[in-house]
Amino acid sequence: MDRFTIRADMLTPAIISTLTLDGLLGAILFDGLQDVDKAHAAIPLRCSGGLYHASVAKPVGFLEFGKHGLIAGLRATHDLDLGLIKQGKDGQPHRHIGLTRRSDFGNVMNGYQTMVAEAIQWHAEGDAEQVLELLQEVEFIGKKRTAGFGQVRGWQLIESDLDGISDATGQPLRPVPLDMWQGDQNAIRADAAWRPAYWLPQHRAICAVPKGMLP
Amino acid sequence: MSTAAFFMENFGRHFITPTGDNWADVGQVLRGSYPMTGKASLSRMQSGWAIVRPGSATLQLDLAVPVIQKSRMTRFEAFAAELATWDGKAPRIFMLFDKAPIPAQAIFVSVDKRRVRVCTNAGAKTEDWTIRPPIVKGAQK
Repeated sequence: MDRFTIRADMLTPAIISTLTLDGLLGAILFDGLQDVDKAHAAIPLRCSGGLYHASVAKPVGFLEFGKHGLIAGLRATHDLDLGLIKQGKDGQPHRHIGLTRRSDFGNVMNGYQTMVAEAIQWHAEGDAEQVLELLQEVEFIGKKRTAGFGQVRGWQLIESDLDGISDATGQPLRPVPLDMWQGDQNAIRADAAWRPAYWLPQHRAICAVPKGMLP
Repeated sequence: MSTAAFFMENFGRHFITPTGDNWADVGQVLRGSYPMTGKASLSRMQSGWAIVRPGSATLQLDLAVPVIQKSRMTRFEAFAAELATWDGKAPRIFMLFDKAPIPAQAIFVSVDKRRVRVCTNAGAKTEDWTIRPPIVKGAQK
């Protein structure tokens, strides 16, 4: 197992809150395998008791935050199956949906925090060559990739002494459950997901978390 | 400690009978309608706030759930009072209710004053209670 740093040089702003390297690799593997358990088992990183030795994404160099709003509009006749709408007593949907009344179903505006950075990097321990091979094909990371956010110019593999769990000062590089945490006991504690799939609330625990991370 | 188990043990079980699936129960509690004190009508938790602590909870909305303490303080007064006396270690859940219910996955426990999570229907907002709030432009001194 090698200790290494993976660096993504960025072309466009990224929408990333918490993105661990194991989460990113798990998603890439899932695209091919279409099986969550198999995808997680295939992540080429060291894993101790379910905890992957992989940090959260950290911006490098110039850094600026911004805001971006996106409106999700409903194309009623294309996107919505009437069978999904609650029926009235007469067996018809409560409202007629048409191009002229689609506003009744409301556009939804979502706000995102964007991050402009020269590069984003992760520290990890595992099979560095295999990780780089998986990432080489990845051109976009984070949310709203199809809208052009998070475009990557290229990936670099750099030697490192960090194991993806804690940094040189003993601060956490990723969420680590308190019963597994051996670094600085004064590290920030939060209720956070610590293993993939990170969106599942069942995978949350009280963890030592990196400063500045929004779990 | 499981967030859902903490929520159900100290808050949720006073509203529904737990099924054992804690995360499903959390959603059920937050979506449910409950009788109001002295009234026949039912109300959802669709306004006000709640704070959950180990062994107790406080709710602003006057629902007929005697075990839970009631308070008429505003959300700002209540949260500020709680944070001022909190040791920053024992778990707390801070909730702000609005028309749409808070989704179960937006319920987070706070265990550190540097990472206070306020749970809303739009997700959990994170605040650092140890730093001064930013100066708002145009605010009178």
